[in-house]
Amino acid sequence: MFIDLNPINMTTGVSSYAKDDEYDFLFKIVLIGDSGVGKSNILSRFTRNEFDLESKTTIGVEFATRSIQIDSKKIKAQIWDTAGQERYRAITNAYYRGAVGALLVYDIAKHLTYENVERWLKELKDHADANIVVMLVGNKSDLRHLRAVPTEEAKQFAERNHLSFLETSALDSTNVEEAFESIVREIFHLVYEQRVDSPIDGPNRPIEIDKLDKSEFKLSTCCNKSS
Amino acid sequence: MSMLSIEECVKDSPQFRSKLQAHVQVVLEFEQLLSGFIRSIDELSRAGNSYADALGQFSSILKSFSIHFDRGIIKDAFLVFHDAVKKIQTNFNILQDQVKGSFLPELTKFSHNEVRKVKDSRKIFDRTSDHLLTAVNRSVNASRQKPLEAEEASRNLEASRTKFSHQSVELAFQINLLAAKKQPFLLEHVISHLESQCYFYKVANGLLQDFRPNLAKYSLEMEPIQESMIENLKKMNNRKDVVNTFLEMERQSEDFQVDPRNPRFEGFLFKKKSKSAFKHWNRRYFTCGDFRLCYFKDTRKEIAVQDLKLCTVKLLEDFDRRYCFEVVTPTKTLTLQAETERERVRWCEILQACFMSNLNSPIDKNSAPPESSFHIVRTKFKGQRQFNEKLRAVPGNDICADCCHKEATWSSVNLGVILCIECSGIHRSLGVRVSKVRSLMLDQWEPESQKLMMLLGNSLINSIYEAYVPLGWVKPLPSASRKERIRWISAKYKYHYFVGPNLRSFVDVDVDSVDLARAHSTELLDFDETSLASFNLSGTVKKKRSPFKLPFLHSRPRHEGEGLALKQRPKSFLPQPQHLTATLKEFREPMGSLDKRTTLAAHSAFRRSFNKPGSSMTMPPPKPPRITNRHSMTEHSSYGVHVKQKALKISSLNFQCDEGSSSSSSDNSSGGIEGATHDQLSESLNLNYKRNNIETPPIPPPPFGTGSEMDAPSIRIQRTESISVIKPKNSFQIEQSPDFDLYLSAQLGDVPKMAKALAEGARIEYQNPRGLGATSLIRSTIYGNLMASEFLMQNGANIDTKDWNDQTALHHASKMGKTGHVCLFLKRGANKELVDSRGKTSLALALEGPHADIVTLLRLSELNDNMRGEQEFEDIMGDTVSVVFDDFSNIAVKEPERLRRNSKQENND
Repeated sequence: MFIDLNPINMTTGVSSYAKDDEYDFLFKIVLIGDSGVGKSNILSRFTRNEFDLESKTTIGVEFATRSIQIDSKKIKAQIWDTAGQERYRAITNAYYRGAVGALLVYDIAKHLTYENVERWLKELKDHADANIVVMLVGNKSDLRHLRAVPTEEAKQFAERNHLSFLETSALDSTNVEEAFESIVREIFHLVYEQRVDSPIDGPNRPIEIDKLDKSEFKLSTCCNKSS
Repeated sequence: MSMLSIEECVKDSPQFRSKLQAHVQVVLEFEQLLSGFIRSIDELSRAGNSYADALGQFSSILKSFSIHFDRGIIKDAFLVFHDAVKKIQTNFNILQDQVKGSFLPELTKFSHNEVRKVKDSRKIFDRTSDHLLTAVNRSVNASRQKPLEAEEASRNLEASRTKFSHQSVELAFQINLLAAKKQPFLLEHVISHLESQCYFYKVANGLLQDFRPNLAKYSLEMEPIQESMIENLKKMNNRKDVVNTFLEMERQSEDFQVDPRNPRFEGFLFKKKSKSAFKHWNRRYFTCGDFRLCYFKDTRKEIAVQDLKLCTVKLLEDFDRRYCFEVVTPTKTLTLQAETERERVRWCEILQACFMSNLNSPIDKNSAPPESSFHIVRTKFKGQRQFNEKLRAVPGNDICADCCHKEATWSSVNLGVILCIECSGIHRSLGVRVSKVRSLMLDQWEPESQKLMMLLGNSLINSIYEAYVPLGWVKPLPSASRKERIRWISAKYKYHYFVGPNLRSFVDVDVDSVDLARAHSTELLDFDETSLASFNLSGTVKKKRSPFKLPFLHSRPRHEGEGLALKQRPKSFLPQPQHLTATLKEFREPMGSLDKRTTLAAHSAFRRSFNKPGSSMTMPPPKPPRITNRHSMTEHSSYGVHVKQKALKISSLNFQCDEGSSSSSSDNSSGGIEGATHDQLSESLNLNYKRNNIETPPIPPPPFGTGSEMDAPSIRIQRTESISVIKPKNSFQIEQSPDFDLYLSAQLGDVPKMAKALAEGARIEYQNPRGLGATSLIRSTIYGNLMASEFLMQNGANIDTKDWNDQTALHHASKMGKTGHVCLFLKRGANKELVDSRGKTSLALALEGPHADIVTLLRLSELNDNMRGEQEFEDIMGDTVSVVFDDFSNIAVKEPERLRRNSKQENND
C-alpha cells in the first residue's frame, strides 16, 4: 500500500496540501465516540504518525486528510475528528453530513465508553446516511492489564450490529493503519463496485445495498413480479 | 302381535311370561331400528349442511365473478347465476331447518321418553317379581313355632303380591301403549319430513325452470364473445412481427422523427441520486411530451421537471460511466444515463426540442404559471413566502415607500424599505452605497437580512427620511414620471434632504454631482446658476466622501459637537494648536484638489477658536493618537475635510456662544461610557433624542460669504420656520453626535435609532476612543446585537476594521462567544487570518473560550476555502458547509437562546 503523508497545519487542523494533488476519490470519514477514548490520537497517528499523551480535549471539530492507494485508485480520506464531550460539540449535524464512513471508538479499559457505543450508533442512525460504513474500534489495546471490555464480547456486539471491528492502540500504532485502510477499502468497494455493476431487475426500483450483508457487498434484488 | 291382556298379567302364567318376553323383544328391536333411523337422519342433516355451505360458496364465487367482469353480458350472466343459486340455497336451508328443528328432535325425544319407559318398567317388573318369589318362599318355609315370623312372612307375601300385580299391569300397559303409539308417530313424522323434501324439490324445480331460459340466452350470447376471442388470438399471432418492427425501427435511427411542436418520447434512464453521499444510480422511467418532462419515482409517484423553458441538456463525455448526459434546470442538475449511445442522442434531441417547444409554446404562458421560474425561486427557499407575508405586515410595507404604488415587490435591504419596480430602478442607479436593491421574490434572503427588514419598514424609515418635507416638495404618485421619482428619491436618500431642516445643507454642496446635474434641471431643485457655481468649491471636497457623511453645518450645536466627535483622533491634538496645524498640513497632502484657500481659512479659523482665551470647551483629556493601521490612515483625508469645515463652524459659533455657559449635557455622558450600564446608556440616548426633538436648532448667520448663496428658495421657506431663539449651549456635546448615537444604538441593538443616526449623517466607521477604538460594528458584536451588526454591514461597515488592540469584529465575536455574529461575518467574507495585538487569530480566541460552535464554524469555513474548486469535494461533500452556516444563521435569528444556552453552559463548566 502506498501511503502519502500530508503536512498538517496544527492550529487549524486542516492539512495544507497542494491544490494540484490528484486523487480519484475523496471520502469523508468521521471519528466518533466518548470523550477521552483517543480519537484525536488515532487521527494524529494515522495522518502524522504522532502521539501525544497530553493531548487536549477536542473542541468543535478538527480535520485531517491522508491519501491511500487501493486497487490502483488513489483515495483521499478526509477525516473529521469530532469532540466527544457533549459541551464541546457544536449544535450541528454537519459532522455526519456527507460522511461515507465512521470509526466508532471506545476505550477497552473503560467499560462505560463501550456501553455508550449504542448511543453513538443511534446518533449515526439519526443523522448519517443510511449506507454509512461503520467500524467499531476498541482503542488503547496496549493497556492489557486494565482491560475492561473483552475482545470477544465486542466482536460479537459488532457482528450483531453488522459492524466491522478492530482493536487498536494509537500509542504503539497497533492496527491504526489497518483500521483506516479497512474502512476505506470497504467504502471503496461499496461505492466503486456499485457503480460498475448495478443489476437492474425491475423498473422503477431503486438499487439499494442490503445493509445486513454489507460486508459481502451483496446487492438486493427486488424483482417486480406484479404486472 | 296381539296386545297383552291385563287379566293374564294378574294371573302371571308362564304363557304370559313368554308372551311378555316376546313383546319386550319387539320393543328392543324397535328401539334399535329407531336409533338407526335417527343416526341416518342426522347423517343426512349433516350432509345437507355441507351441501348448503358449498352452495353458499358457489353462489358467492359467482357473485365475485360478476364483480370481476366489470362490464357487459358476462357480468349480467354471473349475477343471474348467482341469484338462482342463492335462491336454491335459501330454499334448501328451509328443508334443513325442518330436519334439524323438528324431525330429528321429535325422533330423539320419542326414543328417549316412550321407549325408555317400557324398559324402565320392565326392570321394575323383574325386581318385584324376584321380591314376590322370595316372599313366597319365606312364607312357605315359615315354622309354626314362630307364629310372629310366619305372620310377618304372610303379610310380606301379601304386599309383594299386590306390588307385583300392579307392576305387571303397568308393564303390560306400557308395552301396549308403545305398540299403539309408535305407528302413528312414525308415520306422521316421516310423512311430514318427506313433505318437506317434496316441497323443496318442487320449489327448486320451479326456480330452475324459471332460470332455464337464462341459460339458453347466455349460451347464445357466448358465441360472439368466443368469436372475438378467436379474433384477438389471431392478432396475437403476429407478436413476433411487432417486436421485429420495433427493433427494426430502433436500428434505423434515421427513421426517428422529432415532432418539433410536441416532441414525445419515453423510456428508462438511469438517474444519479443527488442527495446521497454514495453514488447511487436509480433506474427511472422518463416521459417527455405535451410540454412536460416527468419521471416516476415509483409506480405511482410522478415527478415533473419544472420550468422546461429554462432548461438545457448537455452531453457528458468525460464521465466514468458511458452514455451520460445532463439536464440542467434552474434549480438543479439531473445527471442521467441512457442505455445506449443511440438512446442518449435521441433523448438529447428530444429534450432539446422539448425545451425549445416550451419556449415557443403559447400554451405554456396560459396554463403553466406555477411552473414559471418565478414560482420555482419563490418556493425554493423555505419560508421565503412566509417571510414575504410577514414583511408585508410591517407598517407601511403594503405599498412602495417612495411612490405608494401597490405592487411593491422590491426592497432596499440597507435602508429597510419596500419598493415598486420603478423606484427600485432609481434606487439601484444611486449605487450600493446609498441603496442595495433586492427582489423580494427572486433573490435569496439570508435569515439575518430577513429579520433586519422586519425591524425596519416603510413607515419607520419614512418617518426618518421624510421627517421634514419642505413646501414645494411633493411625494411622487404611482403614476409619477421617472424624472419626478429621480428628483425625490435622490433628495430623500442620497442627500437626506428631508431628514431635518439642519441637514438640508448637504444638498447645497453636492449639487454639482454629475448624476444629479444630469437627472434634474437646476430649476427643479430650485437652485440658480450662481449658487451652483459658488458651491463648486465644496463640491470638489465632497467627492472625497459620501455626502451624508459630511455634515456641513452652520446650524445645530449637535453638529458642532459631532464635528469633534467624528474626529476623535484629530481632536486629541486640539489643545495644542501647533499640533493641529501640523495635522492639517498632513491632511492637506492627500487632498490635492482641495482649494488651498479653504484649507487655510479653516486652519486659521480653527487656530483662532482655540487661541481664544476662556473658550468653554469641555474637552476630554487628550489621548495619545492611535493611528496604527492602514485603514485609519486612508481616512485621514476625509477627516481633514471635516476638521476644516468644523473649524469654520466652531470658530463662528464660539464667537457667539456665551463663554461662561458650560454644558450640563456633556457631563452626563462624556464620562464613563465604557462602564455605563445598558439602562443608563439607553436613558442618555433617549435624553439626547428628546432634546434633539425639542430644540429647534438655531441658525446663526453664517459668517462666510457662502452662506448667502445657501438661501436657495426651497431652503429659505424652511429656514424661516426654523429660526430659533435658543442658543447653543455647548459646542462639544460629544454624546450628541450622530456618530455616537449610532455607536450607542448599535450597542443597544436599537436598529431604528441606528437608521436615524445614519440618516443624520453618522459615519459608519466611527471609532470610539473610549471604547479602545471600537467601531459601531465591534460594539454591536460585543453586546451580541446581531441585527445591529447586520444593519451596519448592509450599510457598508468594513467587516475587517480593527480597534486599537488590532481586533476585528470577528475577533470580538469569537472571544465573546457570539456564534451568530461569527456565522454572519464568515458568510460576509471576514478575514479569518488577521491577528490581534497579542498575535491571536479568531480561532485561537474561540479555542480559549472554548466556544465549540465558533471553532466549528471557523474550521469549516477554512476547510471550505481550502477545498474550493475541487470538483470531487463539491460532488461528495455537497453543500455541507453552506448548510451548516444556514443552520447557524437560522438558529441565531430564530432561536438565539439555543446558541446562548450553549455558550453559557460552556462558560459555567
